[in-house]
Amino acid sequence: MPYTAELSRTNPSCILFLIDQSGSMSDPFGGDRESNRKKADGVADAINRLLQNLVIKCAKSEGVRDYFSVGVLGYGAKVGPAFSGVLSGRDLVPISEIADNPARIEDRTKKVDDGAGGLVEQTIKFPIWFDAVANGGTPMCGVLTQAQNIVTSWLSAHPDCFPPIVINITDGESTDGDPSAAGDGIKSQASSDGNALLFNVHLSSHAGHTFEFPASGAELPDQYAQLLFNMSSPLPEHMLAAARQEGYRVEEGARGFVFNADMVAVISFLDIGTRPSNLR
Amino acid sequence: MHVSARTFWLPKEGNAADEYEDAGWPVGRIERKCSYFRCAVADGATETSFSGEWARLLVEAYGRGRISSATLPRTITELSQTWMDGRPTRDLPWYAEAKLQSGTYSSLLGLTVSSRKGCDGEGRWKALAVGDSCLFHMQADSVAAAFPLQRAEDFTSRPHLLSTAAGTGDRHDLDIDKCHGSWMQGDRFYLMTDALAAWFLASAGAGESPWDDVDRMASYGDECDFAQWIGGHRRTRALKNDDVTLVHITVE
Repeated sequence: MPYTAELSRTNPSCILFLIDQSGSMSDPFGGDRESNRKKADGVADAINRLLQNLVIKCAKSEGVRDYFSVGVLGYGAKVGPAFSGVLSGRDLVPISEIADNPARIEDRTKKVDDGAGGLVEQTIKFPIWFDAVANGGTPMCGVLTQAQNIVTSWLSAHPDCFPPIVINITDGESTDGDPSAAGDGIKSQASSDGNALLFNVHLSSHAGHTFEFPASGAELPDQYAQLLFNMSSPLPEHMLAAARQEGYRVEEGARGFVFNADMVAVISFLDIGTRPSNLR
Repeated sequence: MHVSARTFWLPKEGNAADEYEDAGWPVGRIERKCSYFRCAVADGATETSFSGEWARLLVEAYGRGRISSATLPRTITELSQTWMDGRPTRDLPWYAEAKLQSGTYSSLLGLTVSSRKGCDGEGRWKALAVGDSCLFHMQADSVAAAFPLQRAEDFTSRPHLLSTAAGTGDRHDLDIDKCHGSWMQGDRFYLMTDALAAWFLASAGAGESPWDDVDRMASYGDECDFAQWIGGHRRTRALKNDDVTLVHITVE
């Protein structure tokens, strides 16, 4: 059965994030012209939260276990690895190194259940790896082709791994052609456990509905969203089950696609062992 | 009542012994005449840190009589504090701090066997469970009771577990399963964490007699035999690669 390979330190997988850093990302996010929130802020927030959740998932008593190697490719004025500092220039980095090398750590507060029906404020450390960038075109075909090369190289060294996952975070308007074929190139790569997965996070200037893991693209608001939906892999069976347990109303055929929403939940869909259903 | 008890354990393949996050009570082998006997297994959640310590606190507390279904909420609060007191709090990396704030989680299955006779003239047993560690009560070649899960397909990687975390609301809404029954001379009880329990149920469901292997292991096996037996089932993928704990009890 595909997508059942064990994720472990001896059989790790890879996750590759593609982040749109084009000039159009300076437009308002979700049609919100009153606040100063731009799509580029949404991208930075999305990638930082995804990395944070992935690190915490892999953290154990003794440190962070390398269940994954992770890459971040930026695309805008140029296409290439987007880490800065000591990780600069590297395309795939073990998750433990990412954990130890954020650009900075901010203190933030969040409200949590106090166990007695109330809420209390809790200070949390929030690591920042990426700040908002908006400059140049949207060479989505270019970045998908570069991602395919990285995935191919990973698979030649890890032929039995849980299939690599590529998560593309974009406003959807490719400037170097139709990205469908390049997306198919990624999805055609496979380990013995199944084909690589391509998921898309569409951050749009459109106001209105958000969509999370739809099974149909019929109600999406424009052709860019529909194109990204069509490029997105269906969620494997165990991710569908996990999504339902997390409270998502997903139908058979649901795809790894969200519109003006975040994809942090996908991190919780990855199975590295027992995850309590009551873990918050 | 005479009780023979043996506990076997094995970490997930690829993990070191100190990364084992299950726990079993009693530790090792016991032969004892007694009027009641308590034993337990617990399975610390992979996605939380220091869960092995939490599992050990839970089984020891059950084994020493500090936990019953009535006292569980209060005892969990006390044990959570003990767990927290044992954790480092200064100069932690950001991810370790985040992990501690979310607390840790474990299943717990506890069994108490008593020589006190019920109205049917037989000894009594009672069990409690939170999560997916399982009890099997064996009478000769038949599974007299399977608790709390009865089918291999009921196991998921997302069970509801006992938490140390304030803020989950769990103290007020503990999802405790309870079960009781009577036992006869020569009955056996198996307490298993999820991977082994799922294998046992799948095997029994397929018409096989997995109890033969389990009883043989308890009678004649040592730690090496147990590791070989489990390793064989892992290689054929009949048994999920996970920490494994078995407590085997015979009552006479």
